[in-house]
Amino acid sequence: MSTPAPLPSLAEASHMIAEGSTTPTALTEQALGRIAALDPRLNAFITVTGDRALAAAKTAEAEMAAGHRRGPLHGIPYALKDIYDVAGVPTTAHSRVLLGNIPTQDAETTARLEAAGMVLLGKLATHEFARGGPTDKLHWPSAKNPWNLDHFAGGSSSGSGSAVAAGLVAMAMGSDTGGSIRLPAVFCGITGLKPTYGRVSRRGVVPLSFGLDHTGPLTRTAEDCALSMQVLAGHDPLDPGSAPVPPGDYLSGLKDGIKGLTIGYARAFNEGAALSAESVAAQEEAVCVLRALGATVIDVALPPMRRMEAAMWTILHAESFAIHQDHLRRTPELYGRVTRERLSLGAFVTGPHYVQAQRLRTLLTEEMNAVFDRCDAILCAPASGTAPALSAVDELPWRKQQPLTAPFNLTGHPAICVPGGFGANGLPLSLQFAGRAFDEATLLRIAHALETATDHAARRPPESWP
Amino acid sequence: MSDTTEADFQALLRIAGISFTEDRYPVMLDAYRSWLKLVEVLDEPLPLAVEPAAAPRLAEFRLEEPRA
Repeated sequence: MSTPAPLPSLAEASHMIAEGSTTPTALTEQALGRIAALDPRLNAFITVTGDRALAAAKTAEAEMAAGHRRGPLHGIPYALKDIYDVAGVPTTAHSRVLLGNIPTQDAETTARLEAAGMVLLGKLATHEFARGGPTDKLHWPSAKNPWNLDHFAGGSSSGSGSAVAAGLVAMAMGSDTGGSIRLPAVFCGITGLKPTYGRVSRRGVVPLSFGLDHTGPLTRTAEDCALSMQVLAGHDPLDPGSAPVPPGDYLSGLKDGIKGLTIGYARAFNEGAALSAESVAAQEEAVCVLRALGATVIDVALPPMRRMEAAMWTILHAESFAIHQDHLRRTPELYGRVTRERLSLGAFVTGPHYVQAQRLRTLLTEEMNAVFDRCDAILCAPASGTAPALSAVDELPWRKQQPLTAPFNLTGHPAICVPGGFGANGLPLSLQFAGRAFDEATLLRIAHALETATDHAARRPPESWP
Repeated sequence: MSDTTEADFQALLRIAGISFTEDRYPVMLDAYRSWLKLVEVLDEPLPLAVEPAAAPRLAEFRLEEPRA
């Protein structure tokens, strides 16, 4: 049996359903067929909810036949990183620690996507508790990068990146504490948006660090990200980190172009990050394209990385250890080695250092805000190059190079990673744009303009592997 | 002055109630040394008026958009 075609984008699928050229059931069967054909090599899914998906698709069809189309995402398949709760479906966080954990309520984000009429295909692989690494020996295998199975898919939302890039699904939810939505998007050649802290609810999502966790979508296009945000964004009074702001409009200005915008190019940030020559070239090419599209590009300096890393990792280590300390003491053998060692770093954090980190964060957020007085968005590299080989992934508890995505977790500003070309090894390169707080719409506008002006997002990964 | 880093490391693990196998001990001790280096910056004094960030931390931005 031949492998079904990649799932269309959310926007394409929505249009096809509206014009009657496909149905929710056909899309769901296409997705399930593609998962059956490709996922045995990709390991993107931990749980496939096939029967549930087909039933939901039929319900969507019945509603539409009765004249009730809930919105543009009605009847379109999606998938969730396996840290999002779905009532009656296991949430494992890819860990033996949570075997047998079956939530009784949906996460707020799940509830929003379900209310929009989307069709859940299943739960996706992650690094254990969004903290471990791809080579840990766990109960389920780690997700693979469809561009090259021997290279890192990024993490921790590895299954989300793999599934979207491989066309198993058009949208998957990830979470981002130091870059875990954006890095899988970077290495798998797709688009990943970390919204502003407080923009999208975290309730019902297994936490890693209360003050740094963000939830958001991974898609193939900026428009699909915008469509997702129309549903996901909004105040959740039961999430203490949720901001009481209007949900925003991500679609109306999406295709307005970027003429008149000012983009701050964080050249010094990039120079301090030991980027590969082709990654530098991708950034420089993006600067040229942005200028050609009518934006003004200026150089900007970000706050010192050393201070951002100290504040960021102090908070992350302390909060993740607080969450896991009981299990780390009682059942440490249930964790993978990398996860256990990284979580244990929180034992080194003192009370005064945690408070100092939170105070420093106040200052650094103000400094980042000051950068946005001069520009509408910041362009900087999200990673030093293309996806490393799995054999070269740093699995030590202390990473030699901290993620270039993490500063915006610390300050809470929104950041998006978009395709930025390809390296000589055929693997994707990527660009990162950060924006003013609660201004995801401008980031999506920039992403859409770049996507339209280049062909970086059009190329697809292979469908068979050695 | 004697180096108390390893003794401090052992004490912190004991207080936290966690341990590691012998083969991972040097890796974790090395991680601890890297940690100490990273957080040196947190020992630098900050202005007294600087308060810890609190969630939702971007509260000032709520002023830019009227509440629904």
